[in-house]
Amino acid sequence: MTETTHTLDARGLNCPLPILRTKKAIAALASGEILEVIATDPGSVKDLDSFCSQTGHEMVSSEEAADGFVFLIRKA
Amino acid sequence: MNVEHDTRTRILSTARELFHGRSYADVGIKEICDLAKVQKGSFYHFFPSKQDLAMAVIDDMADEWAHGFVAEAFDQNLPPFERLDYMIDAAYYWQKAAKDIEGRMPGCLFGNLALEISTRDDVLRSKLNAVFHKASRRFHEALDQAVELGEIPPLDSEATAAAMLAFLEGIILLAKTRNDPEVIRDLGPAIKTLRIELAHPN
Repeated sequence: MTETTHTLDARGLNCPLPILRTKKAIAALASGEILEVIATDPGSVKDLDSFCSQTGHEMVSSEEAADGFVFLIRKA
Repeated sequence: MNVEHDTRTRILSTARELFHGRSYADVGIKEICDLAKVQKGSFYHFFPSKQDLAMAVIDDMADEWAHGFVAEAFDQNLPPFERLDYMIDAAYYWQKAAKDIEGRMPGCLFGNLALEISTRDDVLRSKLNAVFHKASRRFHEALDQAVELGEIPPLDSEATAAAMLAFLEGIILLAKTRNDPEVIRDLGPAIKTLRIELAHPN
């Protein structure tokens, strides 16, 4: 199984910009592809969780790294 | 210059937060100065009156929105009606994030101020009217493009744009009253169904 990873750098952006950019980036992917999102807005943790549960995309992982929060989202 | 700029920015962001979280009338200059850690003399150097401060807060926020999420939502590369979905998402996630932090949904700063001051201060009312007018032009452009692309039949795009903005402000108000941002997500998509037909001369 091959998984393409695309990255969205949303560091420095405040809510609701990271969500809007994530939605746009996901729209450009094929089903099953993975988007990596890096964000610094602490609100993005809850926001991206709700975004995934509301849209059916899968939050593969969500963790805090040195340069921000890193999310891996698989497109439904 | 930087210190001056920082002081002004600090006053603006403190005032914006307080006006948005509470109200214009409820917040005094002394409280803003105390929280922003600014002397009163310094405050009056930047803003001769509370009304001048409110004008600057409105400008500042309108500018930030216009270049931020409003520009992102009304992206010319998106199909016109999809921009409306993005705008509803922006309102929903923004209000939801604010509620998650504060426990209360703050509503729209411009809508809140309009409700509060429209009968009391014509200068601020005109300012807010201009902000709403500018916002409705984004809807207007999207509608005109949708007509050009043949996605919708011709309609009164200016009046429909105003109706869309009114709908958006209305659901934010209802959501604020219920303290529940889900209202925006549940009702928001209906914005795409609004139509005001062209008037036919008799």
